[in-house]
Amino acid sequence: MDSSPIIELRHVSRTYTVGRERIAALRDMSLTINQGEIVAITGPSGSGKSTLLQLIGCLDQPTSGEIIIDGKAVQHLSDRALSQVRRATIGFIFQSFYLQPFLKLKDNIAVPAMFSSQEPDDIMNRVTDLLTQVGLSDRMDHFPRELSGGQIQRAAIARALMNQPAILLADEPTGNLDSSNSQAIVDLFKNIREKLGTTIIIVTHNPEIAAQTDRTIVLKDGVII
Amino acid sequence: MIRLRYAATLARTKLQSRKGSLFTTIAVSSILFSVLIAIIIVFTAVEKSTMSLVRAANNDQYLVKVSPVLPGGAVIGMNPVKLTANDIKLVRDYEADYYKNLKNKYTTAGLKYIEPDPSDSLLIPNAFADPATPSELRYRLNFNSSLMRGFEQSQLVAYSKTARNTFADLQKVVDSYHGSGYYNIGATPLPPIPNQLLIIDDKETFNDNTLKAGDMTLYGYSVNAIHNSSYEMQDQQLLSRYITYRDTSSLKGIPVLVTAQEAATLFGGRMGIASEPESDTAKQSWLKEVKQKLTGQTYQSCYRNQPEQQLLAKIQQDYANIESHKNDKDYKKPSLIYSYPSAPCGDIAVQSDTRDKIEKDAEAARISEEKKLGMYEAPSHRTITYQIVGFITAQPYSDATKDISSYFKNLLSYHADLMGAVIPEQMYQSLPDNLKFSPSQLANTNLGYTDATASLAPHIVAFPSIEQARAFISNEGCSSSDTDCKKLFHADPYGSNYLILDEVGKLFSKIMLYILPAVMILAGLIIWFMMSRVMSDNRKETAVYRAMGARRIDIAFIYLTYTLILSILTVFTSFLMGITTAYILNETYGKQLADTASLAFGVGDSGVARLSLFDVSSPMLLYAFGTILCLCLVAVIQPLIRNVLRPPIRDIRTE
Repeated sequence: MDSSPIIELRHVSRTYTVGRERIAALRDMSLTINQGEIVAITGPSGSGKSTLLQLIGCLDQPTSGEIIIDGKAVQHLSDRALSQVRRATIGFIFQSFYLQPFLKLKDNIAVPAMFSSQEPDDIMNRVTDLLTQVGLSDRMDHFPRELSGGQIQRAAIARALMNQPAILLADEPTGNLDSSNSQAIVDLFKNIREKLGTTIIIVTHNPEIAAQTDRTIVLKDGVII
Repeated sequence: MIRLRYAATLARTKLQSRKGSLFTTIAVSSILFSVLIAIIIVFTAVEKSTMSLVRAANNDQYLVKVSPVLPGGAVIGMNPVKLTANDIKLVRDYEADYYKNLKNKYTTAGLKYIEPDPSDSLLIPNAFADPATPSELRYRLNFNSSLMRGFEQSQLVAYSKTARNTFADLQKVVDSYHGSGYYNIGATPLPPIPNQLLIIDDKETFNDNTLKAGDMTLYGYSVNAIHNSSYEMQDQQLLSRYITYRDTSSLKGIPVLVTAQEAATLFGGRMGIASEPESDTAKQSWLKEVKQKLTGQTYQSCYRNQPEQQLLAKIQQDYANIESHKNDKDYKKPSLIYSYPSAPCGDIAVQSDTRDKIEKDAEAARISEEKKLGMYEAPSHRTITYQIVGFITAQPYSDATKDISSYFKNLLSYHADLMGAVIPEQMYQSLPDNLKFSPSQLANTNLGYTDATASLAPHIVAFPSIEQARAFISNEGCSSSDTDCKKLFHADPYGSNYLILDEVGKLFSKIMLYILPAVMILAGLIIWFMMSRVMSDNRKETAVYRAMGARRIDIAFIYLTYTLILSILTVFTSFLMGITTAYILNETYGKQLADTASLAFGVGDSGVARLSLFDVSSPMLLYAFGTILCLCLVAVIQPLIRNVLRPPIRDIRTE
């Protein structure tokens, strides 16, 4: 497996202003994650896990420091360029899944590709492949309300993989699942990494999930401990 | 940028959320727009069909009745109760000339001239004159003087010689407004009641020989025109919409257009025609029946000249006196009693003649004297035959505030300045002489006066467009009701209320200029509010799309597509509702109003034009269509900008 860094954070700080108070969510954090790694980020609430994930996901900009994603410094990119990085390099898996309830599963999976310039036929072929990979090929024409919690999460993972991202960011992906479904998701992540070499970062409170990753980064008060 | 089909796919999902709010927004906006659309459709239909009725009624022309302003009226140039020294001199000179000529006539005829009665003078003291008025000016005109008619005529003749508002002057003015024709009106060639009495059921109506005025309006007179023997001649072109009998070769009498109401009253009974119904729809059928059954109907009247009228008056007076003194043994009957004619329009026979020689000689001397002076006219009579060649539907004046139908009727109804039945001039001229009416030999033979009345007679002037008619009326004329007119002509629209209707049309356009933006702003606010809510509700979804790589422009395109779908739905619903509303209005009230309008314009059921409440040809509809679409897109701009500029992290973070 290629062990070159795909994510680098150099002295990254992120401070929020709430009213008159300045809250430091991340403090002078430096971090490197290599390609194909599965990394768990854990820590108590308010430790900066989600902030770290959003910075890596190019949804937020650091107050100071440098973030390099796939060899590109992203902290000063334009909104348009950040969108391009998110579209091409990053796949998001949310705790609440965020599948569009009025779209069929196949269309839900296709959403990330809708913002790219891919041809419709290619998109549908990719959707079929992904749904087959996550074991939902027989649910293509179903609406999310017709799926179980585990199926929905697998669908969300399929959607995150739609644009073949190099990085998969999962925010509490098993938070709403029982242990068997949670394990199935972890197995799926491993399988994805095996097949695609995707770097997977999982924010989780679950030590059993964290224990199954390559590395666990524990945060407290905005710093890695 | 995201493809349209994907933008549409994602936009459609928003139609599924907040369905109640979406339905309410579309419904409220559509109702507002549909009211606007229905108003446009209905008003366009009314305006267009009304103006086509106007054109049908006026032979595709816009008519103006023009009459010269005669300062001071009949006695031109004088204030009858405030005479100047010049006026008094003029009157006295006229009197002196008149009596000098009269005296010459008597002298030439070898008759003894009797000095005139001073109380018959044209000037009488004015007891109500301003005390400051010098005594030599304290006179007023005596309209009871036997000289007054002649004086008025001489004044008119004098005025016509220097007038700047004769028919020739009018033609020059009208030319500058591109007037397209002139029509004669106003001539009254036949004597009125009681000189001419209607013959009904082979009887002359001696006991019904007074003027009937009905409700004292023009309507009241016009529905009694035959009874009143009130006839006016008009150019046939002005009457074509009323004429139902056009065969001039087979006329059996003087052609006449009468009100359908009077025709039905006088002649309809024996034909089974009921009296005029109330509703306009029933009135249309009734009018059709009247036209079918009474077109070509003839009737007769008896014309008796003034001397014969005096004999009839004497018969009436004598009979009344005899009746009232039938128990008075001392009552002495008149020495000469005539009897009523035994046949319609028959001779007046002598019933008893007990005159002595003196009475007979006095009568013979009077006749001899009148003959010598050229003033004698023997009693005479003749039967006049009329033939009904058309019908006018008289419209009574109604209280416009009573209901909407009355208001509408009043707006459309043109109350022609017409008190009598109308004789089409060209038809009358085509009659053989024996059917025409020959005026009395003693009729006015003053050629100067005839010329003056001709040059100052009212005319109908035709213009090819409303604008030209309006310009002429406003620049050159005053309303006929303006008694203090400083212009040369009185000028009023003729044949229909086209100026009022045109003004109403323009007023509608002006009102729409205000209503349209008001409705648009209101609907825009509703759409803006709804779109703001939708975008606010979908912030998280937008943030998720952004996390998946959507650019701001992708998000904007999704919402614009959504807005477009929403606006198409709104436009479709608005037009469907507006068109349906207008159609229902047309189906419910259209026929009734069309009948009312047809009657008001006098075009009957000729089919040349009918009022409608449904017309979708207005360009304003296209404007409304485009405006609604644009408005929806404009209403979304502000919330859209706010939404796409919002950093996705703000909404992701709230998870």
